[in-house]
Amino acid sequence: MFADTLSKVLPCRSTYLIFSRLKHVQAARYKRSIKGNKPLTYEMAGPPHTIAHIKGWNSWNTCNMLDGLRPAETAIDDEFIRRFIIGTWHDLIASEIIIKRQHNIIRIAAITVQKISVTKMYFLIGYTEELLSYWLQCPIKLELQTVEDRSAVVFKYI
Amino acid sequence: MLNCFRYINIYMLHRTTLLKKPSENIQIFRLTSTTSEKLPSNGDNINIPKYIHRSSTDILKAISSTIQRDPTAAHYKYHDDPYLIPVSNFQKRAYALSQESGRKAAHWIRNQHPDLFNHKVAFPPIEKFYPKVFYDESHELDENELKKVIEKGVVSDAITVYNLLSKNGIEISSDTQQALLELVCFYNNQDDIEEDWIEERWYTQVNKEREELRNTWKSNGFSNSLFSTIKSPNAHHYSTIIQGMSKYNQFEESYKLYKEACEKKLILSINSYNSAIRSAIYVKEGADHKWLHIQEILNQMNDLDVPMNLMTLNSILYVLTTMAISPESKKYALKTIAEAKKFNIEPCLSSFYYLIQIFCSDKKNKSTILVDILNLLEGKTLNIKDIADTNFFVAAMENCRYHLQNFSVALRVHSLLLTGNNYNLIGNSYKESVYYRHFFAILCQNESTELLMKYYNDLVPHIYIPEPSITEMIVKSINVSAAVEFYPKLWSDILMFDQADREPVIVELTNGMAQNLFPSFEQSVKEELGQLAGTIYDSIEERKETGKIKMSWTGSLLGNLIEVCLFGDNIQNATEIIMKLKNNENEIIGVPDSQNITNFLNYCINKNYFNEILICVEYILEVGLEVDLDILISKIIKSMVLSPMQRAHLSKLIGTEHYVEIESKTESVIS
Repeated sequence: MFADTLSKVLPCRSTYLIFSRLKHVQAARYKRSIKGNKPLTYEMAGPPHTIAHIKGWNSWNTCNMLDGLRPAETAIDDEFIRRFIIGTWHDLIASEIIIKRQHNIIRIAAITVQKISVTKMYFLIGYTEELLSYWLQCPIKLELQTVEDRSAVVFKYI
Repeated sequence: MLNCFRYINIYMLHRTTLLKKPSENIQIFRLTSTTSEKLPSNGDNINIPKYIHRSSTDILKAISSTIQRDPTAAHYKYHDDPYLIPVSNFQKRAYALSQESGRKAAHWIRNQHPDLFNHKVAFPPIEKFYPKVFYDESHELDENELKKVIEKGVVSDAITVYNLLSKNGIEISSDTQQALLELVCFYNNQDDIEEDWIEERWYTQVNKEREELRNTWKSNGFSNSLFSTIKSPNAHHYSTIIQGMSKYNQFEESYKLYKEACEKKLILSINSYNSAIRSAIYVKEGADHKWLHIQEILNQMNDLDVPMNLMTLNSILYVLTTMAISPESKKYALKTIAEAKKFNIEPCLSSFYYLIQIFCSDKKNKSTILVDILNLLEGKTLNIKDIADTNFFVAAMENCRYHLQNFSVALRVHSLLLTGNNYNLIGNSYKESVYYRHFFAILCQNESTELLMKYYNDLVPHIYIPEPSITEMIVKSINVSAAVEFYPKLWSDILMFDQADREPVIVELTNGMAQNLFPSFEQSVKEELGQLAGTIYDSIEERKETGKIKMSWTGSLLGNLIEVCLFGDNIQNATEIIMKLKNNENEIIGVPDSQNITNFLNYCINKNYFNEILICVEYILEVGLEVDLDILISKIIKSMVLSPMQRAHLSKLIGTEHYVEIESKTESVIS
């Protein structure tokens, strides 16, 4: 509606610009719940245009830069890593999984809930690091932080 | 690229100066021009330094050398998160091994599904990431494959491949056969713990220590059969099997083979002569025989023109340690060292370790050989040359504790350990904790509490967690110097290390606290102590309820706690303890000191706490403590204003007649 009225006032080129903004207005924005009790983490609370302003990226790599290597494979690998970790650390991950690539090392950061004993957690750390490095054939490091309860990572309710 | 940046910078600099002031700009140009003029005048004698070869990791090493250990951080193998950082020896071990066990699980999965892990992503390919190859009859094998397996050092695979090859009737060259024999002899026919399992190696060598002198050689194993298939074994074969056998303490057999080789007039490798020297411990008995045995082998080496090496020196010294009781051994040891010097052989750490053992076996005649050794070694970066090198630091520290009883020497040993990469020579977790046990014991016995706590704060808990006996020593040391400010820290550590169930530690701590109550302390310190006593009582009580601690309370312990509580005006906890005494009379061993109870009553009288007095008096009457109750009651009557109800309570407790008697006495005194 807004675009329609504008197009009448402004020349054609501007309309194109406005359309491009309208197109992505839905993605990665969380819908408000009726009761207003839907928990969001800090990362979830910021819509995409706040990346690099108030929040960071979830994947850090140089694959999509000019002359970057393996952009598609990296995206697939990242998705694999995320799914692998969410499945292996079942019901334990309380945040987004941040994947940082430096040289040949992949560092995976996440926040976990202190639901299982520390020894089990160390077992999972060892298992994840080793199996992922067999799969991706490079050194993998987990960088975990723990919280007592999921509510600790809630930034706001909508 | 870098140059380009520099140009831009210079350009920018000039531009900004241009914009600012023309005069400055000129100055900068002049500066640059003068330096460029000077350069060629020095140019005649430019010395281009020699190229220093750097490895690819040198820059990383240089960077890491700028960082020192952070005493507040746990070892980097643990995750840096409060929940995941271990606080006791048990946890340290459990966490590290759990992680490794997880890695093993991943390893197992990869080996169960080798077909899934054959993709090749890395370039160049990294073999470590690919699944293990399993050899069976379907493989087409040749000698090269065997060579490859031997190169990798996987014993079980090498044996399988060899067996498959001989089954197929493929001959292998004598070089490969020799290499295989060396491999199986070195590892005693079985796979060693893989290099990847660092934690397992760090923690399991405790058991290896016990096996040190047991014969673990696999007789009838693959190496024996391989050796017997060789029709006319040459010197190499003999050397290999002799060394293998003596490495795993099969000395009788190895000595037999040695004799056999000697009869055949073979010149063995130097290390097999060394092994033969070591066999003296088992083959010969008595100091004289052993020394003759050594001399015999040395003469033989001399005849055959085999020069001795460092291991010869160590082997001789090792044999000498087993006959250290004999007074001759010291003389022999010095002779050997002198002989080694002629060959330009520098003794290594294990030689010094043996020397300490030889010279300090006698407890009466104290030898200061360790000081001489330290004079030699101080400030040097040491490398491992013999597997026994890792025993040196533990032995040296033990020597400082029991033999020299000297902290300054211990400090020198410690600073040697911290020089360069010498910490790598500490051995394993067990040796490390024994080393620090001795170190702290010397500290507690000989040094001030301030120094003790300086090291304590630096090393505990991330490097070393004191054993209960050492904790007790530390508590004693604090008690002696009345350094009450350290009690709270120590108590929280005792709780953290799960040592609250150690009765000697708790008794020592509470005794010490009760003895070190000086009225001159500041009010804040007093209150802190009182609170601490309450915390001690509460936390032990809490752990007793959950079944973590089985220790039962003793009367004197509780009495001490009451004393400290009162000192810090912590009447609440003191009363709680009195209640505990009264209610659980049967579970508590003994009764508190009557002085403690009298103090409690006096305190309550002064502060006008009537209910507490009632409980206490009731307790005194129940147990029949030797307290002069009459005086106390009269004191109560004198200094407290009692309501009729309170009077009735009190008189009911001690008997109305008795009460009236005391009352009348007191009144008569007052009037």
